[in-house]
Amino acid sequence: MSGRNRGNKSIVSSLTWLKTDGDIIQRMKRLIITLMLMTFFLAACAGSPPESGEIAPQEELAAAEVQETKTTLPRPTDEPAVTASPETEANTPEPAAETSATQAAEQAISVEPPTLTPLPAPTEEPVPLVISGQTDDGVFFLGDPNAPLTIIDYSDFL
Amino acid sequence: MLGTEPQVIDEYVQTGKVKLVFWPVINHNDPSIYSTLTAQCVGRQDPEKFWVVHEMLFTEQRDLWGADRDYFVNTAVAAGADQAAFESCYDDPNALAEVLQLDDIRRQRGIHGQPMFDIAGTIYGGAPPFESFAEVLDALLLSAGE
Repeated sequence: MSGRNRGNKSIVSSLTWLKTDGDIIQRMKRLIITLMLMTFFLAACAGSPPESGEIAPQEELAAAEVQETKTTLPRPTDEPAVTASPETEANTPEPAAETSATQAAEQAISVEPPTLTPLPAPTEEPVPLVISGQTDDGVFFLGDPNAPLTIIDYSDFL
Repeated sequence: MLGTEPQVIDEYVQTGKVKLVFWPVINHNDPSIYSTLTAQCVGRQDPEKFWVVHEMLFTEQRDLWGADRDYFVNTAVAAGADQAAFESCYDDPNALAEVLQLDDIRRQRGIHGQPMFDIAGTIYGGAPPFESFAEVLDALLLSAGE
């Protein structure tokens, strides 16, 4: 009988240990689930759009427009296209590349033809068009004194 | 030349190809004399204003036939001239003599009608259209290497 009792005690003891192991497993499971949930929430928060949801698309659009503008800038017709050799690309840091792109853009802009400035309305005080002066003879001229051609207009005001 | 003058100025004078000189011709006695005197006296104050009053006088050509001293003074002031200085010039016999002398010189040059144009030493008469001016000027500029 005592041997039987001893056997029962060891079984109970084993069951107790099993019960303890089961608690640990349960706790581990809860911890893992909690960690997974936290990870999920963190990932969800990081990937969500900003509160002003309409700004981000505009910024993206603006960035796209800037990119498009850069690619459509005219290139001077009398200068060769600016192409970097592989050596240059390998040795030149990115900021320098941006600078050269800016310079190329500035050169392209400088090639554009000058715009004409409209003359003021004729009702305002007349503005002299070109140089005017008086010759040694005492008559008046208009234009470059050293112009290649001279027209003498002999006229009566009547 | 007034009709074609703006185009000639725009395309040839403003571009530095041509210098335009106005030489007065006295064909109609006092109206011509005092119109020219007005332009000369305004130009003495400021050559730029000469071209202003030059255009005004041509534009108001019909009024010049009956114009008096007050008319010319008002015209000069409207062109931006100082009135006192202008009247002093207008009433100066020497200024009048200079106007008559300019007319004598053009006669000596064989200019007996108007308008006439001396372009690089060749005299052209009448009032040619702008295209005729352009043809002559372009040919001369081409031969001059311009």
